[in-house]
Amino acid sequence: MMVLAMFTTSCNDFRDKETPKQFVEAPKDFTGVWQLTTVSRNSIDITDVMDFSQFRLHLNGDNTYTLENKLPFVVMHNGKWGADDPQYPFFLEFQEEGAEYPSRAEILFPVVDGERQIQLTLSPGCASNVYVYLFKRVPSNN
Amino acid sequence: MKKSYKILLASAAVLVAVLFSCVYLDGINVDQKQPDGTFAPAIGGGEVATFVVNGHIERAGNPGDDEAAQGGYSLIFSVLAPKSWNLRDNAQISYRGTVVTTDEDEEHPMFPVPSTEAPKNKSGYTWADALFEKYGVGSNVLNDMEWVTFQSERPYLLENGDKPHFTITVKAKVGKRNERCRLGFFINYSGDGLSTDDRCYKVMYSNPFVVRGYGTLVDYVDPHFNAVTPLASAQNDYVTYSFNGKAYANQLVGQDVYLEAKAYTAEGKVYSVTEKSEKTLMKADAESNGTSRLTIWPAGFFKIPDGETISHIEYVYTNKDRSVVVDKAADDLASGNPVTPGEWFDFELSCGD
Repeated sequence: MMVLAMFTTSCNDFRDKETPKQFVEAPKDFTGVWQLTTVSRNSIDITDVMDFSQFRLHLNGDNTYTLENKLPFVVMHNGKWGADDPQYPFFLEFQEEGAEYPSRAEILFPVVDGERQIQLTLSPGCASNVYVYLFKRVPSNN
Repeated sequence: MKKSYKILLASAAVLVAVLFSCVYLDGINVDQKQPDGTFAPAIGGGEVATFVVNGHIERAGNPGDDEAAQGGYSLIFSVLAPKSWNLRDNAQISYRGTVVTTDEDEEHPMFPVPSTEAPKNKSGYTWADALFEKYGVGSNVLNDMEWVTFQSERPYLLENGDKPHFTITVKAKVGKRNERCRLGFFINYSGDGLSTDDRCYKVMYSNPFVVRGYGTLVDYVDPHFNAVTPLASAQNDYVTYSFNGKAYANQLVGQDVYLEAKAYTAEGKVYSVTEKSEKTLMKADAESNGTSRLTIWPAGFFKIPDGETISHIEYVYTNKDRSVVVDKAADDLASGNPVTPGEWFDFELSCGD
């Protein structure tokens, strides 16, 4: 609901000054290939302590996902993905092939330097350890 | 000339007769009754320990109007303990003694000082922050400790020359992990609130106090070559191994340090990583503090097959050609503990309580 309020009150931020007629909500398109840009553990940045750069999350248009060069994640095997709400998502859901139930992770969808990123909060190990993954899109020539 | 000299003397006398209380700690007792009936500074994890602190106050000067109007000053008492004890919620403090003018045998409670209340002479600070700034974690070597501060239920009004004594009893439910620390005890009074006059407060640290709980020992007392964080970790966490080269003299100083490790699974298998490569090379801290660290994802590092779970990881620190190995035996030898030759460091993978 807070996200809704944010978008309602800050709609003016999306006004493009060059083309005054543009006044649309930026589309929430999750499909694509994502890589990690920052990682934190219990609020401490650990981006530089390990090589997180090879991990790839493929969110495909047919609602399947694949994991490449795996790292701890919400799920560890490929399967289906979705968002709780396509317009104003709070969670991404992942259901491994053969799993009875999906797993969900809280997300934020910030814009950094004009690009959408996915910020995902997860506890793949002990529940007392909370990680925040920030993903950016892999450039299409990669 | 004579008259002004008299006035000067009188003013000086007033200055000297500044009121303060000298506070003394006469003894602390952290011994607990053991199962065999003897007493020792040790207790089982999660049990309630009793600590007794004795001290006295020597008052100089009579109370001014402000002090008298408040009924005097309150005793301030602070305990340094591991954060894992959550002492603020898990301790009951009481005091008695001739400082309680009505009845010296009557126990009265002490309550946690609200974090909104600053020490009188450290405005803008909480008591926890002010004590941490002044004393750190005392003679302990790990920072994961906190000062938890309590105040007497009622103030006491002292006159010049009074020398009341007090006995403070702490009943604290200790943490559940294996721990060893030096507890700290600090005494002051609200009218002083950490001034720069060190006669008005005292601090004392206990002998090493042991909690016999679960998991890898968290030793706040002695430096160690090894440290692992987070303590509560599973195989799908990111776990950081540290080599503290400055703990004791060693032959890894000045060389690249590598982590060598064996993962033991609940299914009875062992997976070893012995290679000396980028994968196992520990990175030196930027601060040139002699510490280097390696963060791993255990399930990936050891290539644990699906369905198997690591129960514990044994590890050592080595140089590239393995001519130098720093293991638990080396650490025990350096820290004066019993040595089992060839013993590796051990880290249990557990999420705790």
